[in-house]
Amino acid sequence: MRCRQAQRLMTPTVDNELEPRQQHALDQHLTACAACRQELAATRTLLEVVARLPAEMSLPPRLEEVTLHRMRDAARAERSERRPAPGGEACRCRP
Amino acid sequence: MAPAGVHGKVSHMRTEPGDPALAAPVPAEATARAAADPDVALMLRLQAGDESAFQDLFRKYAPRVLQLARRFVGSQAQAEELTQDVFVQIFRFRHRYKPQSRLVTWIFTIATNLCLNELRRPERQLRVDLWDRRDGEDRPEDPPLPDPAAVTAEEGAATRELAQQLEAAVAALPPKQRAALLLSRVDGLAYRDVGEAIGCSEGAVKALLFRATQALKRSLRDYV
Repeated sequence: MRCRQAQRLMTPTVDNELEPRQQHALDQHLTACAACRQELAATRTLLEVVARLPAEMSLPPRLEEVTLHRMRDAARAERSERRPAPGGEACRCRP
Repeated sequence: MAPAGVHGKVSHMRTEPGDPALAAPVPAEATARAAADPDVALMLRLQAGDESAFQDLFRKYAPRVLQLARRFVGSQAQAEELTQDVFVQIFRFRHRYKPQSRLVTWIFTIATNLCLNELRRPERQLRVDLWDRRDGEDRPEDPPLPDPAAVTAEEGAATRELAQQLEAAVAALPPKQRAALLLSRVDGLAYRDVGEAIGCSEGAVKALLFRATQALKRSLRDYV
C-alpha cells in the first residue's frame, strides 16, 4: 500500500468503518511508515474535535406550535382528499 | 418552503386523534419491532393517527434537525422554516416509513434532502453571488456560532476560537461533503446510513469524508 492509499483509509479507520482486509493492509503500512502514523494521529485529533460540535440546538419557543399547526393543516387536507364528493362516490367532473 | 414563519399566526384547531381515515393497519412484525424500539413505537402511533406521537417525535428530533439545518443554510430563520418543512414531510409520508429502517436515518434523509434542495435554489445562488461581491459588509448567512453553553469557562478562549474556526471551516465545505461529515461525526450515523441519507454508496461517502477531512486539515492547520 502506498501513502496516498493509506490516507484515504484514515477517516474510515477512525470511524471503525474499514473492512478487515483493508484494515490489515493499513495496519501493515502504518507499521512501516512514520509519516502516515503522524497523519493518522492528526486525522484522529481533527475528527474528535468535529465530534464535539453540538449535535442539538435549543428550540425557539413557538417553533413546535407553528409546526403542529402546519401538521394539522396537512391532516385536514388529507381528510378532504379522502372524503367522497357530495352526491356521489367520486368526482367525475370534466374540465 | 413554508409561507409562514415561526412568528406566524397560529390557530388552535384540533385534529382528530386516532382518526381511522388517516390510520393504517399495523402488521404483527411491526408490533414486535415496536416493542423493542421506542422510535418504531412512536412512528406506529403516528401512523395510527395519534397527534401526541407527532409532538413526541418533534421534541425528540427537532433540536438535531434544527442544528443540522442551521449548519446548512446559515440563517436561523431559514433553518427554523426548514425544520418545520422536515416535520410536515415526516407527517405527510408517515405511511412510507418501514419499521425495518432506523427512524433517525429516515428523518435525516428527509432533512438532508430538504437542506440540499434549499442550497440548490437558483434565487439562493443569486443572493450568495451578490453577497460575495460586497466585501466588508456583514453577510446575513455567516457560519453559526458555537453554543456558549457547550463550552465551559475552564476550556477558555482558545477552545471557543477553535470551535468558531471549525464551524466556519465546516460551513465552507461543499454541501455533500458537509452533509457526510456532519451526519457521520456529529449525528453518529454509520456510513451505510449516511449513504442512504445523501443518496450515494458507502464508497462515495468515504470519498466525500476524505475530501472533507483534507479540507478541514488545511483550514485548521494552525489550531489542530
